[in-house]
Amino acid sequence: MQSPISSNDPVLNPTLNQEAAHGAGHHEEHPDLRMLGFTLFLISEGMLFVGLFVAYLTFRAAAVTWPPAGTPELEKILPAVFTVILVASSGVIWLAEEALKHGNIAKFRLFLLLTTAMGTVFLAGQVYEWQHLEFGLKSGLFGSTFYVLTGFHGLHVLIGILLQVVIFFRSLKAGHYTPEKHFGVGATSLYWHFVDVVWIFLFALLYVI
Amino acid sequence: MRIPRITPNWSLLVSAVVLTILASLWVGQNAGFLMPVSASVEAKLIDDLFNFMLVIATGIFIGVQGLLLYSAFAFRRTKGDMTDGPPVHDNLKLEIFWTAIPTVLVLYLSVYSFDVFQQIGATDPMTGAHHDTGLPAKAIAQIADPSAPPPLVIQVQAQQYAWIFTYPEKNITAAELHLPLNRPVRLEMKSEDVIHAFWVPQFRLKQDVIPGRTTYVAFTPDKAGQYQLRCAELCGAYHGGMNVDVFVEDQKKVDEWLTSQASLSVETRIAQALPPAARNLPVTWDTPVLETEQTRTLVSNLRSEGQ
Amino acid sequence: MAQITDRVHPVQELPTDWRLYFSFSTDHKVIGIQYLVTTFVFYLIGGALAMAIRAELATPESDFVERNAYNGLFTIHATIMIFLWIIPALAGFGNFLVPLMIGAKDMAFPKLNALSFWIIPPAAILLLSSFWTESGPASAGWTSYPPLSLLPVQVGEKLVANTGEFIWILSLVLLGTSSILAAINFIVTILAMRTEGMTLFRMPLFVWATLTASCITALGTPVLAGALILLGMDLMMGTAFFNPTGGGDPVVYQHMFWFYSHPAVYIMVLPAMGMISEILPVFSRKPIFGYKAIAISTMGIAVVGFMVWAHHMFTSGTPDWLRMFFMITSFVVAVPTGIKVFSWLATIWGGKLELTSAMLFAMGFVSMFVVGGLSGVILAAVPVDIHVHDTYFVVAHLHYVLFGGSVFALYAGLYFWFPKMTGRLLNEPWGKIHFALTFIGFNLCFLPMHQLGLQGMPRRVAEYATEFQGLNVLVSVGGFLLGISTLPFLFNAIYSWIWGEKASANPWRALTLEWMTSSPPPVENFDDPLPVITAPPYEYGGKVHDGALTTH
Repeated sequence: MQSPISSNDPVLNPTLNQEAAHGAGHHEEHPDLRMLGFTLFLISEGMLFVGLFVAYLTFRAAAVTWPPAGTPELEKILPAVFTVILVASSGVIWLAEEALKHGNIAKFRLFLLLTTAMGTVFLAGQVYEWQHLEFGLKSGLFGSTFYVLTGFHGLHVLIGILLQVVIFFRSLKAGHYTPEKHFGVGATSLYWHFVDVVWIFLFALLYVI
Repeated sequence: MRIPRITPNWSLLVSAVVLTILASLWVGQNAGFLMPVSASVEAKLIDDLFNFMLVIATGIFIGVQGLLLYSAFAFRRTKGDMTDGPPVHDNLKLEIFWTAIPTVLVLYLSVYSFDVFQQIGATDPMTGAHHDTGLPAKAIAQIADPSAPPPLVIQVQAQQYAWIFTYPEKNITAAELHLPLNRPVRLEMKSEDVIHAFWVPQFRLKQDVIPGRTTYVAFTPDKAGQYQLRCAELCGAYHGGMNVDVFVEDQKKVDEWLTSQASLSVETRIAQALPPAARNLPVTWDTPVLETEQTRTLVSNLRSEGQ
Repeated sequence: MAQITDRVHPVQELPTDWRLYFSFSTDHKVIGIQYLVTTFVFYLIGGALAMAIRAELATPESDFVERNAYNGLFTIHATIMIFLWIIPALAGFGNFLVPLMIGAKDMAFPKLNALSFWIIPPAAILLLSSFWTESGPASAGWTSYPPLSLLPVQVGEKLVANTGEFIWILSLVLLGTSSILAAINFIVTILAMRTEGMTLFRMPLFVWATLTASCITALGTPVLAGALILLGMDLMMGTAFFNPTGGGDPVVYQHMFWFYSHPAVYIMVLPAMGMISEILPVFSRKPIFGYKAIAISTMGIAVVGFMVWAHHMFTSGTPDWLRMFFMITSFVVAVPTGIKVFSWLATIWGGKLELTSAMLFAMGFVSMFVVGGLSGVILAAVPVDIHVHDTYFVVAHLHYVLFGGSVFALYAGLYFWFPKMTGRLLNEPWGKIHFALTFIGFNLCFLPMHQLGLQGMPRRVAEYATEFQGLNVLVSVGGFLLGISTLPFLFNAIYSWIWGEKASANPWRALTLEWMTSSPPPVENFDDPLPVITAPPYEYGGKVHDGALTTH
């Protein structure tokens, strides 16, 4: 039986690793694999929302009137303003990422903080709206779908904000993110765009159509 | 190197195919024991479709198992033979053949099943709600006697763990289903708690009864007898006991039975609806009103008495 | 870089004996074995529940267990067999084999891989813990249809909150997360970490199948998670998604559930088919017949598989046109499936068959899977399905697909790759006894169920009409035989792992890459440099005989 640790293991003995450069086998040759994995994760996560959206549309199609009679009209102006803020923040985090790619860490931090602020404003707006609605989670199908869809998205926004806080503090450590190597930033940014796109669909579903 | 013959032995192949076909047809002729008595016009059509598919399936079954068994015996490696078999990677003609045959077969099955589906007039409960007569009356008229009377409408209420039938024409509510022979029937089914399913194996028809909507099943019983309606969707602890007798008999007998029911008290009739074992259950679901307020209270009382 | 240090130190610190398998190892081979052993334990537990079910059904009356407990038995039996045995066991094979087969040193994300595995034991313990709650385990069937799954449970004289159902939901969300993470890992590994020369169409068919199943998992599981979250909200928070009293629609749950759960059948069957495509050529000494056709039909089944879900709902009040659409798509699945079966037959035809235990189980797979496939075609026809839906005919069908299919393939795979995993061969005579018992027990148990269903026995019942007792006794006898059949295997596996005959690197004279390294393989799989692939994987009888690949 062979020992579990091979003596000519390339990691333990890096000189052996030279020839393996072609053999697409090792992580360090693929710094971008994590980004591919994360993208797949977001596609998978997107299917969760697709499922919920289609369920919503089915409920809606099956209902005689939608929203059900007696449901108070949703306020639209304020959510629209918050939507603009969230969509704009997607552009801001892109600027932050670009700054990092050009090596400008200070500018990166500034735009990152701005994104976080905009995300927080959006979330606060969401909380404000929830507090002022005249229907609750348990007041029938419309209430249930409204709160669960916005709540589920809100949870994703919150996670996005937390990710931004984490990468902000990490960026304070000199050299943690370099123009070439910044998976954490790339992933957070992609995630933020994802949350944004989901919201655009959600806004259209709940407020527009 | 001894390469086994791969070119087919034609006479062997042809006789194997002929034998397989004969065996499949024989199975189709003798598969009656698989199904219970057929007691509706629709059942005949469904049985024909099933039998057709069974013949095809038997043919494929014999073919595949035969080839497996034959290979297991005919192509055994002799001990010590370390050589490989012939390096055959593919055979385009063969592959086209076994792609085309199933394709044609499933296309034919689609058309055949579609046709049977139309004939049995399985109605769409979504649109059925809006059209009074709907598809079944028309479809049934084509198969059954054209001078047949209009369908008998019966309201069915399903709830844990009882079936309750209301004959609106006579305003009778009962715990048994009596159906006149050769007269189209249309059941309008509602559930008061969870999903149940109407299934009488002899009619070959099944339809879920879903709370919050009305579903329909339409058919024409054509064989007198006593059958059983079985709940076919898991509905709780006593799901297996949610059965009730179904009688198909002459219109005259049905009328007599209806008259006899009218003389019984409603309590007695409803008491019969629950399977004995389930009579002392607490009410588990705060349901909206039953078809008649009366029956609901009765069932509730029956259950709470046992507590 | 962080990952290099991760890999150097833990490997040295981890124990090198059996304790390795209880550690947070990031080695894909250790994780693969962890998956397989853990899931086999759950297979035995799920099997024990099945024995209890068959004991209850040996008589027409409900007399062996309490009625609600019976519903809990079949609910947890199905949940364990699907989510804690077949799906993770196939992921275990995937973990062990994929990096070896494509010439990689490990999976793309080793730590994530370990995490995917280590989610499973707590989720499983959580699920089993529901047996000790006041309400008992979830008892609405593994499909967990509302409104039944939302009801409080009657225990004795009173109603109690349905804790078991909530635990079931939690546990399934955890297991779903685990399989999504594992799927992402597989997809990235297969797409980005193949060794030089390992083009997509030189990948072994098991790798194709794992890639396809992983895509299904990544796309389908989240929808199930969505359905379960809504169900959990209805149960715990009083929302009205699937609760008709609040205006909700229970049928929407069924759509969301089956959108995942039908493709889940292919998650359970495609990798099993992949293993069969590996084993048949080796013991037939012939190349796989129609490599590309099999690879493409694997993908084809996955695509069509996402368009057939409502065939589980032909009696759920699905509109006519939708029923016709789903009937036709369901029929279409027969075409790529047929291509595979015929290709396997052509593979063994004219070969030099060696009927090892692995080969017997592989041929048993083809034989039994065909029965499940044929009854599947019968079920696809709406008019016939209206009669047999939710009856024992369906129970027979699904067991022919998932036991006669997936489990036979898992056994075949265990006999075949056991020497690679442990460095020792399983005992062949005991393997043949195991096969014979399994094959006979299986058919005795599940074949009569077809007739029971056609005759009128609904599924999920604790009591049934007395006319069905004869066949049910036969089924129960078969069931117990099937239970007993696991014993020789268990004995064989434990004995052989410790004292079995030592295996060479390539005891079956196979040509795929996992056999080109020692048994068991070293920590990073191949002695450097990584092998370079110059030929397709199944060149038996060809010019490149003793090495379809060459290593610089």
